[in-house]
Amino acid sequence: MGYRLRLSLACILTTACCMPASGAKITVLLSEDGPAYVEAGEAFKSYLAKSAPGAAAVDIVPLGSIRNRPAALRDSALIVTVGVAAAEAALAAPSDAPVLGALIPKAAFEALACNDLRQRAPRRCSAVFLDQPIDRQLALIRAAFPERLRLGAVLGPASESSAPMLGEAARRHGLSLEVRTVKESADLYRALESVLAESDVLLAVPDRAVLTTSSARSLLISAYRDQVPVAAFSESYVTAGATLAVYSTPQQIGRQAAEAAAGFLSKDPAELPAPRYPKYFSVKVNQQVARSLGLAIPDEQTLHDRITEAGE
Amino acid sequence: MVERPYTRSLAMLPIIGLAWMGAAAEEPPSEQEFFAPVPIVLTASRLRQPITEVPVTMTVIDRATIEASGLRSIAEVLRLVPGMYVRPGLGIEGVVPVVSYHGMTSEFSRRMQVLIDGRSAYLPPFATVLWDDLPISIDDVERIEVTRGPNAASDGANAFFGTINIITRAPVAGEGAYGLARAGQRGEREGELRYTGGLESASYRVTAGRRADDGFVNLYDAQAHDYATGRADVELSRQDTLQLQLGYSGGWRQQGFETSPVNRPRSKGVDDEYGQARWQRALAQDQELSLQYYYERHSVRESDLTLPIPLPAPPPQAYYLTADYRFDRHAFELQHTLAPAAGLRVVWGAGAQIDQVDAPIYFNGRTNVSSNLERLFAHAEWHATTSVLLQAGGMLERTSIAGTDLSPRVSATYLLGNDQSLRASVSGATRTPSLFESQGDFGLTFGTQRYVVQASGGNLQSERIISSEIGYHGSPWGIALQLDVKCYRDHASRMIDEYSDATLVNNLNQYTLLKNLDDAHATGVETEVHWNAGSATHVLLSYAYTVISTVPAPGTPGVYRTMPRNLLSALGQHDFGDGWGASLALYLDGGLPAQAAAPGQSGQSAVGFERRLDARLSRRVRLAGAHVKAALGVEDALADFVEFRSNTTFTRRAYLEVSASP
Repeated sequence: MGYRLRLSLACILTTACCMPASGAKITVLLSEDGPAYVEAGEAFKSYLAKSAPGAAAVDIVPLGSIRNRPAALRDSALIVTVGVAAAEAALAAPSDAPVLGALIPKAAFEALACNDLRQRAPRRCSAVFLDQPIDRQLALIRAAFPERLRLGAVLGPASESSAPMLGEAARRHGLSLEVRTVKESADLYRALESVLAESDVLLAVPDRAVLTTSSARSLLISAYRDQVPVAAFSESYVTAGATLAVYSTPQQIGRQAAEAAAGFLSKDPAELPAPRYPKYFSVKVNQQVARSLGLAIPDEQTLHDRITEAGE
Repeated sequence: MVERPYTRSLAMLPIIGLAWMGAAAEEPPSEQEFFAPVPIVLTASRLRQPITEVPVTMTVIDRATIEASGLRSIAEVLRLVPGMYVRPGLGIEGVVPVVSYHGMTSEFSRRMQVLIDGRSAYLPPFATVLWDDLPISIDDVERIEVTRGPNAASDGANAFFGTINIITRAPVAGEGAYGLARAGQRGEREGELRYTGGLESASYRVTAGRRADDGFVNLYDAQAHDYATGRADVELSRQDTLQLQLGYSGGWRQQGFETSPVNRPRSKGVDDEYGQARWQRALAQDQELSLQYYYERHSVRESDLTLPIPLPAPPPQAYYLTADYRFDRHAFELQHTLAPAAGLRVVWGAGAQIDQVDAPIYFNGRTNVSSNLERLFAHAEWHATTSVLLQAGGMLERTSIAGTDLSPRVSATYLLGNDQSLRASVSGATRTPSLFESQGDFGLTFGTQRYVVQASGGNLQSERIISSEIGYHGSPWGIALQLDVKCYRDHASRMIDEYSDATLVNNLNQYTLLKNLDDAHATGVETEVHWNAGSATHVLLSYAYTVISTVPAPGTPGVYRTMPRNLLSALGQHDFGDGWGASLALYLDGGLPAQAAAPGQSGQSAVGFERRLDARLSRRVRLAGAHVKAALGVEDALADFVEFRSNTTFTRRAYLEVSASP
């Protein structure tokens, strides 16, 4: 390890143990000023204040404001990023502060240059993933549609590498899996035709090459036509016509990030927990679509409890 | 080792390099995929009410059933609906299919509301549906929802015995191109081309084709139609969609008889055009507002040269008759769906319709005969408990023809476990007389003489019906078999029909008047069974037992030859795997008694028990990357299926059909 890095580590340790607890500065960097980002930032701040009062001063800062002042992050004990763009910017900035990514999907986190740096300093960055673990999604499907055992999915270039993992998870939950891979959204319709013919439930997988707003329409109409319920990944999809989804709200992510930050501040030497899936989640069901498909689905709270009991 | 300042950026090079190499599509999803608003697609109006909760018995014919039947005519597909009597009619419009629920109709399919995407296909001046002239391809039909029972509370006047709601497929980007060609006996020829595509926030479909056939063997009824339709669904915002449709259908149809001096064999030209716009806004879950406008124009060009006719005064000579007519319709409708309280859903709306008819031959020379209609409707659905559903609704309609009428409906449904339900309902409906029934005066002019053929008796009132039914829907013997049973009693009064007696003679010609005449009662049992006999076999069985009796108006014969007492249809389909599929359809018709001649009407001979068998074999393959399907079939394989009258005898019709989509 280089001299410079040892110096950085020393700085961090000094900061952590020598700075008075109330003096630690945490910068929350927002990728955009949309409501999801602001809610995550505010939730982080208020949960941290509740669980570790006075431990740190939290500064919520939009990404644009540090672009011209990269040195602004230098004196932070921890940088919490909200969104992928903020995470990329924080890692590129000349600062040695550890980075905790919030509102970042697992695949996006793994694609960050963070991995490189982790070899030199483990735990230098971590994240609370935005997407749900596959076992939780499948536990929801099993709880909502116990008699529907054939799962279908259409994957794209970014998600096709997860096909084997999806297959194993399906087996674990007693489901069969029918998968097609496409290169772009124009191919979605044909792939759906064959997948829907062999499935009882369709799992929508986020992949921006495949699921654009117009191909989302194709997916929802085709699945409804074939009387196949759709298990999606966001609240917005359920309002649009998917039958159900398990997801985490910005507040829930912010809360878990605050817990990770509180743990980080209280440990000596300061250490971030390993990147992990979200602990807090919500379930949303579109009862109108469910009724129209002739499905009697338990209410959201019951499904949430069943998933928790299943240990997911 | 001192780290060089730009090592970190160099370390990123391989990653940047990979990204540049066109793996942009492999970019992992960002948080935006999770928070981006998705346009609301399955809005309240797009979602079908679950079949266990419908207030009045409903049959849904889906795409799979339409394809398995191999039928190309929407009217013929309706034979699969219990209680629906589909038979050929012979009359003013020529030889056309007549579709009626529980019979009780003449040559016009006039006692059912027929809607195509919310446009009424029920045309003035005769208030009939011209099934073969509809500007729609059966391949564009997503499903047909048939409400078997008066549905005026939802669909307005003329949903007297029920509603046939034809819903076209929403264009889904990616479906691409499609072509179909079919040739069969009796001159059957059909070609169709379709393209479905999408833009950023719109998807569209264009369909065009031509259908032709030679009709019945011993009748002059060949026909050919071209059609072109387009539909575009545009997302104006996350909540707003605009649906636009344009359609055209044009062609000709033969009618007439060699043996008739006046009704000579001739061709009539028919044209239909429409444009429709519907704006829908999804307000919240289960709440929606929609506004619709459509314009439709229908025109008929018909002329006839009679044989030399001996009339008093001039020596026998031939006469030239024209029966051209045209009609225009503008219609508006507003509909609001809301959920004001938990378990309560309300749909209300208002509409207006203006019909203008230019048909001098049918109105004694008057052009621009018009009728207006305004309506207000409301319907509420209340889940009183988890197993009791109460529904009530009504339609208030004011027409320039018949004043103001109210059509109410109440129903109660008891939801048992396991997708089973018991329902009971009472509904009322009215049928406004058609423009011809209320003001018509059809006469033929030979030289200076006018001979009345049929005219309105004047002061016609709306027909009324009250229908009560109890029904059951469920799978009592396991999930593979789904059963629906309905028992009903209908009382219809002031039915409009033709009347004549010895006093109705002008110029030595007996003519008929249209008047409110008989009361009629129908009672019976209908059942529909869906059976998944195996994972690859599906059977649809429909049976209706109908008893119709009439209370004749004084001075009329009151014989009502309307529909067979027993009607059964069965469609079985099987998927053999490897792209091979087959279907078999059986139609059994219990026959009709003879009808004696009456003044101004000819008699009909009895028709005995009849059967019809259709068979179809199909194969799907991939040829050069395209999906190709070929089918070989026979309609009326056992031949000589007689329906309604002896001169409409079907013959065996074999066909070959090929379709492909790249």
